[in-house]
Formats: sequence, C-alpha cells, structure tokens
Amino acid sequence: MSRTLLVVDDEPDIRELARLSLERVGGFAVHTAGSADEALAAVEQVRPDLVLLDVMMPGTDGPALLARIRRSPGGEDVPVLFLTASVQDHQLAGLRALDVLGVLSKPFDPMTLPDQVRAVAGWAAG
Amino acid sequence: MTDTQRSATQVRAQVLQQLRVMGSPPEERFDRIVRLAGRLLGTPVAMVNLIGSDQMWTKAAEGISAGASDLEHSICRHAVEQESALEVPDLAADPRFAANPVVTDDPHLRFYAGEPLRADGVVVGTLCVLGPQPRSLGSLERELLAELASWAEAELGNLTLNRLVADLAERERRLGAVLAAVPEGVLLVDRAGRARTANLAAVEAFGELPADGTPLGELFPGSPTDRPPFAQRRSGDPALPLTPTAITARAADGSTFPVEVTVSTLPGADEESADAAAAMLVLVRDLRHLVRGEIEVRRQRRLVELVLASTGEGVVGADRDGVIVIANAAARRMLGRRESDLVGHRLHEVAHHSHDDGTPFPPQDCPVERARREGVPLAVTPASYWRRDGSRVPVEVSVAPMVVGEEVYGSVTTFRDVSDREQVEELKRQFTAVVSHELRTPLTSVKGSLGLLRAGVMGPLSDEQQRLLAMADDNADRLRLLVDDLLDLERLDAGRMPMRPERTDLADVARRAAESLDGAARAAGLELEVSAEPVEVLADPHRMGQVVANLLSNAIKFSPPGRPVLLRTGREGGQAFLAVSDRGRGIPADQLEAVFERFRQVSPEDSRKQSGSGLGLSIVQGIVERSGGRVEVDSELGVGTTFTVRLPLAPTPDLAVAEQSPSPQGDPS
Repeated sequence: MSRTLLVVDDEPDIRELARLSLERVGGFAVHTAGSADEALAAVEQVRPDLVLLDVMMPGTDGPALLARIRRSPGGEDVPVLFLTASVQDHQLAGLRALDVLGVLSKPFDPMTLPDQVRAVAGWAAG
Repeated sequence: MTDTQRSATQVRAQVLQQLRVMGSPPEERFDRIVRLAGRLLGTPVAMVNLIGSDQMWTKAAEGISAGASDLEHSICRHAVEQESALEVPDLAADPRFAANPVVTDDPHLRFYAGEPLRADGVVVGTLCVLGPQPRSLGSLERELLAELASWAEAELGNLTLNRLVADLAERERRLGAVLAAVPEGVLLVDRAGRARTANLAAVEAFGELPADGTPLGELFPGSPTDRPPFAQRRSGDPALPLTPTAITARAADGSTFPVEVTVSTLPGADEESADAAAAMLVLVRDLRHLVRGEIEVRRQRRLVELVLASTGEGVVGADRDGVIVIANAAARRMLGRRESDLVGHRLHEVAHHSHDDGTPFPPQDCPVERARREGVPLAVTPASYWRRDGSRVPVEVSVAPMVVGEEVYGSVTTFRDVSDREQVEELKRQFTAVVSHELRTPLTSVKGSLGLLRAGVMGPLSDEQQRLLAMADDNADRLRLLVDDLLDLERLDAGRMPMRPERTDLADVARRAAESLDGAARAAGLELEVSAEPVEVLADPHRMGQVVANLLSNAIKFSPPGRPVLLRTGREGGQAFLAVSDRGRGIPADQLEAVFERFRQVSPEDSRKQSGSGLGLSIVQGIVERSGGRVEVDSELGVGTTFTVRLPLAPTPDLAVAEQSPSPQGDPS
C-alpha cells in the first residue's frame, strides 16, 4: 500500500524535485502545495499520511501553517516533518519543540530523502 | 694715649674721611697758601698737614716734599692734639723734638710755628712754617699765620661743598638716566595741578612741557583733578593703595590714547610748600602697545579656533593630567556636548565610560588612556563614544602626545564618526547573507535534479551523458562549498558564528574528521595517517571538526598520490596542538603569510587544477582565533607543508566540571 505525502513549499523547483524523489525513488504518492491555502485544502481533501512542510515561506511560515493545519479538518493528527535551511542550533531546537515528528535539513539529497522520511516516520522500507 | 685722645682721634679720622682729603694729590688752592705763608713769614718751609689716625698727610708743601709721613715724628700732631697754635722757637732745645730727624738730619730745622685747621669744628691738621734758625714770630706774623690758616680752613670747607655738589650732580645724572630709561611716563605735578617735569617717555607721549607746566586736565581730558584718580592723591592719604587706573590721555597732536596711571603724593608736599614744588608723581603707562599685542593674540586665537572649527574630526586637547583644555566644534557636535561639559573634564569619563554592552569601562583598562598617560601615539578603531543623550557613536580614535623637547605637555585626541562605515559594513553583511541564501536555493534544485538523473531514476544513461552529469554535479558541489564558506566567513567577520565551547578532545575531533575524509583521500590515491594523543581544549567540537576537515582537504588536494597526509594531536609547550602535514611541493617562504588570505592560492593554475573556494584557510584561521588559539604554517619547497593549530589547554577537570555543557543534538548541516 502506497503512502500519500503532501509536500508544501513555495519554491516550484523544490516541490518538483521533492515530488520526483519521493515518487520515483521512494515510491510514495505525492501531492504538492505552493501556499497555505492550497496546503489546507489538500490536507482536507487528500488526507495525507504525512506532510513535509517548508519552514521559510512568505506570508504564512511553517510554524504558523502548522498551527492552522492542526485546527483544520483532517489535520488534527497528521504527522508533519519540517524542512529547513537553517543550521542554527537554537532555531532547530525551537522547531523540534513544536508538534512535529522531526526536522529535516535543506538542501536534501533526492536519493536519500525517501529513506530519511521513512526513518523519522517509523515506516518500514518499501 | 688717653681715652679722650683716642676718641678725639676717631672723630678726627671720621671728619677727614668725609673730606676725602687723606692721600689726595696737591691742589693749587692749598699750594698758594703755603707759598704765601713761607714768603710772608720768611720761612723756607711751609706745609698744610692733616693728622690721620695712623699717618700724617702733607696736602701742600713749600721747601719740602708733600705726601705721607709717620705720626711719630710729626710736630704738627702736638699742635693738633692741644687744639691750639704751637710755636717752638728752638726745636733742638725742646726735649719733644730734639731727636726729630728734621732737626738732627737734613734739612736741620730749628724753628716751628703751627696754626690748627678745623673742619666741622674739629681740629684735623695745621698750617705750619719751619726754618733753620731759632726764632719767634712777632704778633703781626702770628696774626698773618692765623689768617692764612682761616683761608686754608675755608678751602677745606669748599672741598666738602664741591664734593657735595659733584655728588648731587652725579645723583641727578643717574636719576635722570633712570627716569629716561623707564618705559612709563613720569610726570611731576605741582600743587596747582600742573605737570612741570616729564621724563623721556612722557615727553614722547605728551610732547615737551612748557616752562610753567601743563594743567593735568589738558593731559588727561575727562579726568578732572578733583576726581579720582587724582583727587584721592591730592587728599594726601598715604594709606591709600597705589592702584593703576585706566583713563584717557591726550597727546600733543590732540589725539587721544588709553593709559594706565598710578598717582602718588610726594613726601614733603604739604600745605606750606610753594606752588611750584612737586606735589604728585604720576606714572603713565601707554596701553596702546598692550592693546595692539592683545589684538594680535586674539586674532591668532581666532585663527586657531577657525582651523579647529573647520575640521570635520573631533579634536580634544588635554593637559598632562588628561583634563580637557580645548574641544572643537566637531567634537562637541559628535558627542552632543557643550564646551562646559568637556573642558575641565576627562574625555574617557565624559564619552568613553562604558563598553558597548553598557558595562563600565574603567580608564585603567582603556588603551587610549594608557597611551595618553605614557605619551605614546595610538589609533583605535572602532571604538564607541557615548553622547550626552546616552546614544552610541562609533568612532575611530587616535591619540598623540604634545611633546616639546623631551617634555610631554599633554595630548591631542582626534576622532571621527564612522557610523557611515558601520552602515556600509552592515549592508555588506546583509548583501552576503541574502546573496548566499539566494544562491543556495537554486543550487539545491540543480544538485537534486542532477542527483536524480545520475542515479538513473529518470531512465538509463549513456556513458557520455553520465560523464557530463558528473561534471555538472561536481561543479554544483564546488559552488555550494563556496557559498557555505562565504556564509561562514561573513559570520566570522561579524562575530556571529555560533561558538559553543566545551571540553573537547582534539584527538577525537581529528579521528572523526579523518574518517569522514577517508573516501576523498583514497580517491586522491593517498592515505591519512593519524597519530592522535588525547588532549583537551575548550572549544566548539563542531567548529574544530570544520577546522580539521578544511586542513585535511587542503592537504589532500596538494599531496601527490602515494604520499601520506599526517594528522597529529598532542601537547607541546603548555598548549594543545593539532598538526596536518602534507608531502606536497611546499609553499615559497614569501607566500607563507598569504595562504590565509581570501581567494588565495599559491600559484594561479592551482585555482583551476585544485578545486576549492580559496576560503578554507581563512575560515580555519577565523575559527581558531575566535577560540583563543592561533594557526602556524611551516613549509619547505619540495618536502611539504605543515599547518599547526595551537590552543590553550582546557582547565583541570575539577574546575571545569560545572562548565561542561551537553553536546549539540545531531549534526545540523
């Protein structure tokens, strides 16, 4: 059974890359969203198994969008992973303290990203 | 000699001294008297003798030599001592004189008659006549001798008078010379208020005074004689102080000029004095030269102030104790201070009292203060001065001693506002940060896309396609490394690179770095040899790992295949060290320092042949220095190069336990 992921990033190239990586290498079903509204709509309609959420986004940033997802239908319990380019320890610690599964760093290696996601989510390979 | 005689001798000597006649040469006024006496009395010898305390002085002589002789054989001495005329008809018959040489020897004199000579009522000598035959004077002859003696006494009196006149003339001459030489004008003013006498300076100022004088009112218009400063002097109160008073004087040509007068009443200038007598002495000081001098001083001062005021830099002059004596307009403006806030105070206390974080900055810790005290020039940039309103102004400060000869008279501190420069630095930092971030994002896409393609995810590839993709992927790596290094350097420069010092074993760090670079070393056909002796330092282990990795990848790049790269840690000279040695071709001595410069590679072709940002060693140096250590480089051409990092040892564990912090969670990169 293929798991369904939602990738939220304002950068179209990154969205596409993540989608290719997770579909082709990881074998997931992937939906993408480029804005907060798209993301909220996708969460409600798609009911993904996991959301990969970019931290730095114009308008509504990662943590703010996380809060809205948690208040929206279907988003109360969905596992969320942050993707961030920050390397500052205190920022990473602040993100980990939120209601998320974990934090993955950007830039990501598209060949290993699916394994990283599986490891954090506790899903068996394949 | 009796006491009376002794005192008479003293009185006589005193009078003779005042006459200044003892030892004086012959004078015609006395010579003519003795000539006349000899002729009139028929004696071949006649003299004017003066009896001093230790000798007789023959002032005038006829028929015998003048000059000094012993008192012992003086016949006149007897006449003087008895203070009356002495006549000895036969000297040979008188026991007092029988053995006298003038009697027994040449000129064999036998007769003496002497008439006492008085000066100021004291008998001081005689007019005497002597002859070779015993005889006596007739009464007319005695009268003649007495008359001639009176004449001689009169001449003695004239002598005194002449001397007094000469003395007075000399005194007047000297006084005149003094008065003429005095730069102040001196006016003698009579009771009627007319200036009668003027010295040279006064004549130059007022012109010659007419014989009947000039009224003070004409010389000093506006200062009537019945008003101060003249009135109080005329009241004659000697207790009034002699205070100079500034008034206006009028010169002979009618022009007026400022003077300072000091008026004093002359002694004896009382009511009984005649009108013509001097009643006041007026000292006149011409202030025109003074005024001109003062104007010049003020002009010079204005010029100096203008120069200082036109300078954009703050200029503060302080005395030897550091107390401000002058602060220019720029200094006042930059510090938001009035002159009175600065002059009389110390610059450090007024404007340099706190560090940037607000903690006190004691003057003894301030390098500028120390340089000022020690008289050593120094420049400090950037420093923070504080305005009156508490705001900070970034400045570049330099201090220089004011030295005359070998003496330090004070210091000059100059400073300029470098706010603009700080803004530029800030813009530069923002630019770097933004550019780096904007570069990273597309690089992420490039890298990711190439990675997917190379992995064959999008379908099988030909060998040529693989090679081209590998080339693109390697260069994307290089770009990412450059961007990461630029970001690191920017953060090091700004002091914003996070540093979490903790007890760190350099041997651990070295081993981990060697493991992570093992693949790169093997790809380059060489081995990493690690000889790590445990040694603890207080440093951020993640940053130390970055240091070792940079040094190792540098060594790997420059080592030819088959030659090992050596990595050692340990302690040496009370410090910890970490050394990375390659067997490369070495660095010329004149370029050793330059290896730490940015974008620097030893030869131009290096930058093409050896991939790298050219920033690695700058970053190594930045991190090590921020950690309290230093980096050394030793190289021998054709043998190899060794980079050595030296860091202070961590304090002994007992003391350091409390400071230990947990290791960072995960690897954020």
